Amino acid sequence: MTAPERRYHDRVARQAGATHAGIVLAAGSGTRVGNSRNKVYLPLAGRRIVTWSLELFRRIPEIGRLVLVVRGEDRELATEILERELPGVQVDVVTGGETRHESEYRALFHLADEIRGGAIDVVLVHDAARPLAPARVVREVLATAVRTGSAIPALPLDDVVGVDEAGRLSSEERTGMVRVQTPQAFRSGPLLAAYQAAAEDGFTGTDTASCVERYEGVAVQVVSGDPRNIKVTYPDDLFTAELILTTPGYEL
Amino acid sequence: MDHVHTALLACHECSGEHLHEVTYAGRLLASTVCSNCGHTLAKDLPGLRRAYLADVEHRVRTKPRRMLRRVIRHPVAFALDLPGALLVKPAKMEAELRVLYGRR
Repeated sequence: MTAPERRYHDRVARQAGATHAGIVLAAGSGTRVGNSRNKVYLPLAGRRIVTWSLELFRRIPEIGRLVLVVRGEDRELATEILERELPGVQVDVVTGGETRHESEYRALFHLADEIRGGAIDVVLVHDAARPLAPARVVREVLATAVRTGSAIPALPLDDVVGVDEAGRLSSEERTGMVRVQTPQAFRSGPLLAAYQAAAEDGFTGTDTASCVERYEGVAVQVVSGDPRNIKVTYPDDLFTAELILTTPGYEL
Repeated sequence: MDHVHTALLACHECSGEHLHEVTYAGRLLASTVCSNCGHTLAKDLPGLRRAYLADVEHRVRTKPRRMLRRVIRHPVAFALDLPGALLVKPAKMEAELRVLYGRR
């Protein structure tokens, strides 16, 4: 998207009283084994992990559209969970693709008319397996993306050291390395344009930021992440997440 | 909610993603077992029992409000589901007690 196009997009968005959209990715890329469920449907502190992840966006009034991307076979389960655990909340359920990139594209395609019409200003993309992203992080990535066009939360890798080819500690200084988290937020127009260009090229990005950087040349702004914003990967993470969610006074 | 779920999680012991059996006592996580290597993580039972009692108290206290909300929202489904829910309740409680006393 060129600068004049971007300014036009912004103006249309403002005039239309644009809102922001939150996409939660629960499609995963793993293969289903037997009767196993995607871990994001595991219960945790009384609700499913995916519900906690959607709840993060629901609590931010500026986020007026919610999209949940699921595997085809999980669609019925996801709908049932939403009805039970987020009653009255409008969440569009979209079937994802084989890869994270394809799932993101399908969610954006679902919102494409609203994005082109200027009804959605910023899109936030979040992993369903991160149920603990604090509201402070969500607000900060959103505010930064509104201001600069894009934002991702990250934590500094301050315990990282270099190793040379012989396996010895290297004295070379490593600066500026970070561990990236979600939600990641992007101005909707450039994001959609990037994914459309990627689809034409057959390019598959590793995450949202990589695709936007490649096709829109947008310098992605890093904001401060949160150590509690863990991705449920190991069984230990379930215990940690439950502990945090049930800590008195803990607020998302 | 069922008290045993199965999901793919990464295992610290045998590496890679494997099916894990995740067991709950009511709404509380009780244990996880890797189906590949048997690596088990479990809460200590006395602590789990104390937490369970507090959770049951909360569930009982909030039950009328939750039931009322469901009646208002889906009166027909509520009426149809109620007999079945009452019938399976003893079995559910028994399953929760089995987890709490380490018999499953």
